[in-house]
Amino acid sequence: MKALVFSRSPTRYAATRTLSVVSSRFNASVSPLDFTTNFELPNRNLPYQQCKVLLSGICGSDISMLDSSSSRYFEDFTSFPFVPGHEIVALAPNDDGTKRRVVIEPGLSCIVREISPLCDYCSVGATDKCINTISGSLNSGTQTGYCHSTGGGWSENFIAHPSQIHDLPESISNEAALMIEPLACAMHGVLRAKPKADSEVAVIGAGTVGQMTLAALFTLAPEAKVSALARYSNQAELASSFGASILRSNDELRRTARRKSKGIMVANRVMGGFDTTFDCVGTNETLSHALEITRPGGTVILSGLPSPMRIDLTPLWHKQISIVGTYAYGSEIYEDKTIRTFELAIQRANSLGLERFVSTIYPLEDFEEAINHARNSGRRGATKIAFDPASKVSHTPRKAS
Amino acid sequence: MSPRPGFILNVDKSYPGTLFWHGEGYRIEKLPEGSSVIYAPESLPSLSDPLGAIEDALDNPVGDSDPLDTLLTSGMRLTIAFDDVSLPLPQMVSPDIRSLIIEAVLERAARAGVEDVVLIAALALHRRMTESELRHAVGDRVYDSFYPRGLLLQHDAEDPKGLSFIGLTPQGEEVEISKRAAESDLIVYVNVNLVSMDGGHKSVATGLSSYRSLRHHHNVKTMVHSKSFMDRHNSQLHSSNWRMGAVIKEAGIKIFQIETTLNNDTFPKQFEFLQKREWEWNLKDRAKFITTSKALEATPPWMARNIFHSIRSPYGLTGVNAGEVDAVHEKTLERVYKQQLVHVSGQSDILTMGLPFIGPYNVNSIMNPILVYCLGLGYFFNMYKNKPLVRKGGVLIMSHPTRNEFDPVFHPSYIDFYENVLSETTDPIEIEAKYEKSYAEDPWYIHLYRTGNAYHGVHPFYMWYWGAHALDHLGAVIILGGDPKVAKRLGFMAASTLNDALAMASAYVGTSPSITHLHSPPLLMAQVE
Amino acid sequence: MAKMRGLLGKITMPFPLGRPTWPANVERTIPKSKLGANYDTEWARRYSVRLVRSLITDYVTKPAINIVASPKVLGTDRLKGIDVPVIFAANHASHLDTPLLLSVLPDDFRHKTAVGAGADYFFDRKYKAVIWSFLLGAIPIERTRVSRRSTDLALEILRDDWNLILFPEGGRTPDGFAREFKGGVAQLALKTGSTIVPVFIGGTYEVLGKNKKGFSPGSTVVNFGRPISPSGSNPRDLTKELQSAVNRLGDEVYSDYWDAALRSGASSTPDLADNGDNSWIAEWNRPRFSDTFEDSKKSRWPRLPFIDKPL
Repeated sequence: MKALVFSRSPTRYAATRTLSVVSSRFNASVSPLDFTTNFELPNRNLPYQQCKVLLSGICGSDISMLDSSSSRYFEDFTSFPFVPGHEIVALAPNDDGTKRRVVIEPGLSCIVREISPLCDYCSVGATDKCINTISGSLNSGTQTGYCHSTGGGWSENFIAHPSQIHDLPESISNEAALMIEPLACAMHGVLRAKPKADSEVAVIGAGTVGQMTLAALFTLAPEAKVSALARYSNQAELASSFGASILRSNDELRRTARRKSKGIMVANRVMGGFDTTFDCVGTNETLSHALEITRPGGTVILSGLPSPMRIDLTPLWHKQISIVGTYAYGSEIYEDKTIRTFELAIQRANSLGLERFVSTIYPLEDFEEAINHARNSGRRGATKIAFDPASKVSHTPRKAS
Repeated sequence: MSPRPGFILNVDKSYPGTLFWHGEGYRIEKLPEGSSVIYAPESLPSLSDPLGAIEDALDNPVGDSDPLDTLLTSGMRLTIAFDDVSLPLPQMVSPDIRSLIIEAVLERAARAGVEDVVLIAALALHRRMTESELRHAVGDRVYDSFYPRGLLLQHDAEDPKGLSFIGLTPQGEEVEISKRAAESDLIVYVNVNLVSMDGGHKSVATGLSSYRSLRHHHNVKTMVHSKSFMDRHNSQLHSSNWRMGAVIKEAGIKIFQIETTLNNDTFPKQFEFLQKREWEWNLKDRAKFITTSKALEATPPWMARNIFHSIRSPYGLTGVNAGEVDAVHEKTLERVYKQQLVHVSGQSDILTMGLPFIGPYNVNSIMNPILVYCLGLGYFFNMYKNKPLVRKGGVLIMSHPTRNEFDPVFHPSYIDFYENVLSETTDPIEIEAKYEKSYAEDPWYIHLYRTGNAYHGVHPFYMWYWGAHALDHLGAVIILGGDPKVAKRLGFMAASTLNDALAMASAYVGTSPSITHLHSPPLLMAQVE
Repeated sequence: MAKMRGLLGKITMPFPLGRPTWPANVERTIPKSKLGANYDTEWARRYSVRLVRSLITDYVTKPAINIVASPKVLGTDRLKGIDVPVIFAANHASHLDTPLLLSVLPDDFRHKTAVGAGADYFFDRKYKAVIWSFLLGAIPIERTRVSRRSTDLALEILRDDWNLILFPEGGRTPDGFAREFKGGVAQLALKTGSTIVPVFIGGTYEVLGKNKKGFSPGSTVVNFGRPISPSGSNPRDLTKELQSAVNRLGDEVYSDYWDAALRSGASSTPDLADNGDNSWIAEWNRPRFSDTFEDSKKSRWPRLPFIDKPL
């Protein structure tokens, strides 16, 4: 079976890290990720099921893992070697031997790990906050795609617990379904922020996380006035389809922050600003910028996976801003009903034209090019790059009109 | 040889080409055969003794006014207001004509024992002048003796305690001017008239007024119906100002208006070829053109800008009149027209123009896209009497690099206007209805206007209204050599060569259009029959 | 000089190699003096000499003046576009005045300006006459009486389109207060129709006043006034007008333009010549230009830590 396997290799980790200083062009070849054709999944009994991958996306967090630039925080919540890939559209077996299209919720919480009793969080459905990331019947790992026992999306098959499997309606194409996981993440963030009807919201970054945040705001908080910072023109075009005002530079966003709040701006310091700011990138620069443009008493939602950073928190202190982290998905209370974030995402997927965001699909064999493409997606006019283990050549999916 | 009047060149086979200004640079373009090029009249001779002429004007006022000496009495309150840095363009060589007049007036005031004198730069909603600009305008002596005592002021249209409501015109327009001016026994207004729009009642009724008052004539409706706003008698902008002038007069506020007119000596010796007709260029002129235009191409824009903005024009004074506003202004207009008016027969399908590095609002600063728009569609387009140079539905081709560059100190609200307003709409009426108030009342812009050197928050809107008549009249606007993205934001098209621009224009005016080129600066005004 | 001549005398060759001696019994007519007011300065206005002088003015005198006198120049705008030739008439406190004024004149004037210098002081010896007419373009002016020769010379110079610097006080002030202007300048102006530019020079008395042994470097000021056209006045009134113009220029420097204008309007401009009958109070109150500028007190040279120790 074909798979891309990530192993623990301090030498290759160090080499990637060193090489990154000069260029990240060859990271995919140097990093501890290898293509193999004779990968064997660990044995699993029921209720775990073996699913066949249709599409699996390359996420920003995968890139920073491959570039060895992410925090080492997750290192001990991971079991090596593993197959990456947590955005997965798959075929799951039915009892009668037929197969159905599904999308995988990759979180490995108590239920998935067969832990009983459930932890305090899982027992109320907040699986995103589950504390059991290393015990139970699976190896360490927060999600499918970081765990040795389950396999991951960047291979032909993987293992999933029935609670992870969400059936897809006919109307959602494979490409659109691939965006459900990131959309669910974004919805979770938006519902954590709960922007008020006419509040001013800024979204920094218009890659996958940014676009999905805009989509989530569009569908869950249509009354909010959204300004989006999009560096590349294709991003700007996509973002404007969700009704956001588009800004192209930090300066522009800063000035808009001042204008909208009728505040003041001395050098780069804005007094006044947005009620809520989503940092969908998670770098030093973007978080500092988010703090600059958020109004006193406002909220910064940290949606993108943050890289390790040094940051001046004086504006946070002075303007009494709250930084709110948002991770993954669980259960939400939306319109007075409790619903799984994934179910909500699947419900809303049809109205958002999600397939537009899948740019190019690569075979597993071409992983170096795929990863380079994903790393430079903004510049190369792409949003989501994905693997299709069954395909022979890379291709651009047919765009739905 | 006496100066020759304006001239209209009919482009034929043996025509050498036409100089097109292109921001901080210029180039030669070949217009198609049959095109017309309008040249400004040559510079009129300047007065040989400007100081004598000023004294003479103060002693022999025109219209219903006593000589200045009789108006000055010991113990009175005297306010001297003067035009700001937007005039003349470029700034004139030192001494500035204003400083000569101000000193002449002050000498007389001192002789009469008038101790209570205040000088006010009539900014309206323009930016405050910098120290060096103020010094240049009033002269070192006046600056050094009045500024430190707080007697040299810049009009503050947002100072609630510094304004005085005068009354309403019959049309219900509010008249509000500087309190100090309103409470003075005499306002002496020192004006520089570069174009026929300036001066007259506009001096006090606009220069010393506030947003509350200005909005009655600085709006889309007035501007669309000012045909043109350069033609005082056919301009609603001016009728409104004249109504306000009447209210001011009725309120007992005495104005002694001093207006000056300049000739067409726009460029100093080393750039003189820029105001010569191309077929008369000699070897030296050609050498200068080639070296300067090539050097400018290789110069980074900021440096070219610095070079151009350090140009001081050797303008000569063609006349000065003082006394009653109306009478003075009529004489002024006569002289402005004498210098600038060119008779043109018939309108054309396409009007081309080269936009220079400077307009009234970017002295010592960047000509941002909104100012490019205003210079082309506002100022140059409106340099006509009777009817526009281009027919209704015709095309305007203007040459300027139109970079997405702004001066954050002088034009902060312009940046936001460009980013937040023009990204939504370019329709003046919609812009006025939807955005004007919030910009005009934005406390941050007001703060920057009052304490920094920023144009008022509402000023970019006025720039947009200034071009409203042209927008209404034209079928299309093409920016030659402009940044395509910027042109798109302004609602226009960009072309990289003149031939491309003409090809694009053919979609609006057919394949054999008549073309007129406005060869300016030096400034000219077309009387179109 | 005498010593030198003696020295040369010793090696004097006998006639005809040497100069012939005058037989004692032959009557000897004293040759007409070629010095004083009679000194012919024509050569000093030749183009070649002018050229050398202009180089010296620009590259030697001017930098030197900048070092000792740091001049602040005011009012040059009032000289724009006036008809040449003009007479610059200034108050006089120091030998520095002439080189200072020459070095700060606008370019249109600087290299075509002659200076009226006391015939008795600057032209009494051949070597002095040569030096001053070469360096400053000086011309000899008789200051004790009105001399036909001096007037003619000045007239001729003005008619040749040369500007002229004259000090109507006729000499340097001994005490820092100006002295009454004499009528010569006015007469000259009326005769030629030349414009007079009143000039106030301040601070030179403190830098190098009369009876002062060396320079005390400091700040100075030169303030050019509005040109006075001489038409229609008589010499007495014109002299008065000139003196009050210079007084007002001084007032402008020590207060400011507007105060000076108001005082002038009220005819209460302080008289630079008013020494309060030699009272110490007047001397105490006498405005000193360097007082008004802090930077004149600063060291002119970079302070070096190892030298700059308090004594």
